[in-house]
Amino acid sequence: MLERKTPPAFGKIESVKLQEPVVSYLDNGIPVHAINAGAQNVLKVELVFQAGSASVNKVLVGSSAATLITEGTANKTAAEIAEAVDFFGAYLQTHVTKEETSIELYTLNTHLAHTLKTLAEVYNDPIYPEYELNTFVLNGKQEMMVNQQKVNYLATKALHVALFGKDHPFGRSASLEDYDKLTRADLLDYYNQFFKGNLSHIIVAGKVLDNTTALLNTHFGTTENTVKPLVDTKLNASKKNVTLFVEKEGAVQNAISIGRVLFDRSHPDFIGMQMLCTVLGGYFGSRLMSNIREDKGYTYGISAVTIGYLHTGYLSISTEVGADVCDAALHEIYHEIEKLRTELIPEDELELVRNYMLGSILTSVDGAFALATKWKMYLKHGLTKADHEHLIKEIKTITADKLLSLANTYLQKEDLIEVVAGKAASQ
Amino acid sequence: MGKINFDKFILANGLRVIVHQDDATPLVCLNIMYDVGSRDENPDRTGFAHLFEHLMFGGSANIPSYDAPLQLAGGKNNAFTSTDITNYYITLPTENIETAFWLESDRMLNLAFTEKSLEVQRNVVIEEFRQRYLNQPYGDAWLLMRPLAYKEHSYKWATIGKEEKHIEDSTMEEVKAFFNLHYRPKNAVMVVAGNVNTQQIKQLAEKWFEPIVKGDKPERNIPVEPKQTEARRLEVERPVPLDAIYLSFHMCGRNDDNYFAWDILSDILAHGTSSRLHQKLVKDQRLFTSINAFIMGERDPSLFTIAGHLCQGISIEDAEKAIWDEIELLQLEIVSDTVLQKAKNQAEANHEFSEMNLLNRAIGLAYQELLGDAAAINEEVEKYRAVSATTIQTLAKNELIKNNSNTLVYKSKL
Repeated sequence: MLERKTPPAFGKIESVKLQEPVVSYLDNGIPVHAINAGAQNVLKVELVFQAGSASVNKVLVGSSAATLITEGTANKTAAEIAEAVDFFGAYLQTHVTKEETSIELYTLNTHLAHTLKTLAEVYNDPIYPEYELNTFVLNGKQEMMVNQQKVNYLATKALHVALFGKDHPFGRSASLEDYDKLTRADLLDYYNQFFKGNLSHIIVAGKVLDNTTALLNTHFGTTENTVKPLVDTKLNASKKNVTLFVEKEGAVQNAISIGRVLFDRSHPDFIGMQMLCTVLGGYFGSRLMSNIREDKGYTYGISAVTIGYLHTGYLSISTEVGADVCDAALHEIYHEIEKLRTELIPEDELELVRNYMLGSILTSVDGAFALATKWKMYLKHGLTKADHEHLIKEIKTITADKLLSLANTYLQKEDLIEVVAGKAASQ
Repeated sequence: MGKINFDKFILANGLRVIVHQDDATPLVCLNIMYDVGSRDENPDRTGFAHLFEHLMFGGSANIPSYDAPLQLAGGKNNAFTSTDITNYYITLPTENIETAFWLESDRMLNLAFTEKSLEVQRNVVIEEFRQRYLNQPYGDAWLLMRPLAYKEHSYKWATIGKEEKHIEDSTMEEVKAFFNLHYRPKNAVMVVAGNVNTQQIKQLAEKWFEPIVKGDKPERNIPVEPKQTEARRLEVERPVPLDAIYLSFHMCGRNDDNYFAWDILSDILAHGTSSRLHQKLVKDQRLFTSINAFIMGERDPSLFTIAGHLCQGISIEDAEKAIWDEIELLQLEIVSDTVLQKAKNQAEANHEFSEMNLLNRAIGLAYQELLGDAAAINEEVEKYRAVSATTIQTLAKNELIKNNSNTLVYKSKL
């Protein structure tokens, strides 16, 4: 008779092999990081710039300059560019964060010669046509109006303002009026200052062929390029123990966002806080999920994450809960945080989190595009394979005492900012 | 285009097992797809297949916690329910494959069926109902479109259920009956993908799953949807900032010869910013802020849908007319070689991109096997290539017509 009660023997993940990119340089000095992996004849080509939505004071300029770079060049209209990409089943996208922008091409290698040419055209020669800008403004405003109906959008925005201040690059966000203020001149200026000749590096991933670098050189290696480093943003002190409420009429769920400013990835406590947040709300069996979802049934999901910018960072706990159980949910969230301050995490739970995190790292290096994502982050933060090994070591060796100490340093209730968006309690 | 290689065998108890070898990954994926979805539900107890999916995580006969042992073994898992199937998947380090077999076989064998689990998951699912469908702008569009488009067939309700009350009223007896009827080896396909070999998987499958003997594949008796003979329309008001239009037409099922032509048709209309609907209706005429055309890949005859958000100040009539003008164009003019080639290139590229992911391959193999034959996964690209411009025009002429149309007008009342 098969014995089903005892788990089968299993192994712990001792190490995670990290494939490193092969680095080469274009004639003008731009580094190319190549990740050759996978059986599919596909390629991702990513142009990376050390500039983002926080790079200029005028809101929306940075992100719009990226989004609209594909909307027309001197030789091709937006429609023609779209056709040149779509015809080959390729994808051309831009991705903007506060501190970094990338233009990404996904293509079959069979069509690389054509699609790479289009990527080069939009990078070298965008003209930001007035008509396309107008369409973007019209649609952007309307999309924002839709987002303003979502409680999690409202709560997240309010938390960022509370953490960093409404004028700070990481605290501010766009309003409808900001769309109307956008001009073509803004976009061209941004392009000339932060994109043109300012290509930081190129990441290619997939089936990297023998002639891939030569092709990249033809398109991106012949023009002058001098990379300007990202400007360091000075941080305003965050307000402490602020509670904010954003009303959303008719909400059947409230969004809760709780957070505090922390630090960037180079801080010695960064990994420890990552682990603490994993215990608290980083996986399905976490304290918050086990309590608020699986025990109380208040929510479909609750999470705790740490975010690392280049020079600062923050942690954020977020969820959407039934409006009628919002207060109860808040009570439970603080209760779980208090437990982390007062009780050591049991060894078997810590072991589980260790293995879970190592399993996550294993997933994060599985496949060409996963590796590209990882190395994009590593390159941004100046991390190397040694940091990958260090992370694994920290995960395996951190103690419950250390995590308790971190909880007491960084998870005091008076240091946390709470935002709720949804139905007012009295209704 | 590479082929997905695999072996297939069937256990004595009827469980179909597929093994796909990939030695380039440190992970292994175990995917079990049960042939039960919301189409198999009782009309008075909708949302059940999905509620049940949640209950599968509440502990099984011999294993009180499903997640903890898996996380301990460095694994992750999730599940999803559709109108046709319920799918469970685990990914974990290759060396720990047996943990996955232990967990999945135990919950196929029997669930713990605790009152607490039912109580909690009822609430969780109700919160999911709220978060995804009631508290989101346009969230309930499909809760409205399905009963509009379907009068008899059980596709007429959405997977989440018709209403919260059906979920609230579910009882333990019903839950147990559902499990006993549908969660049987003969009603499932298991795919194991990764750096494994068939012999090894066969041994594990025989050890953990073969002892589970539970009865035949349940019979399915879903009413056939009668042919639609006149246009249907529903207008609702909601607190959303922009009007929206959803326009659905009845189309064939996943296994029908015309399926690929329908998919190509949706791509011609709306795949990518060069597509007709985007260029003409969003960019040139500024009638819509966004517009899409898509199919759902459902097993039984399904829906082809065009959906979009109107720009402020645009009337419903003008927006609808613009869509019907594009449909008329498809009916009058055969699409050019370039347009057709583009759609085929897109289908081929998408197929290649999706195959990069181990889990995608596993799910694809499982679904194709439930459709009839896992090997069909390697025939998809050829079927797209074989679609003719004439077929597309014929579909447009015969099916994209008023008498086959279901229109949901979603008006802003803000």
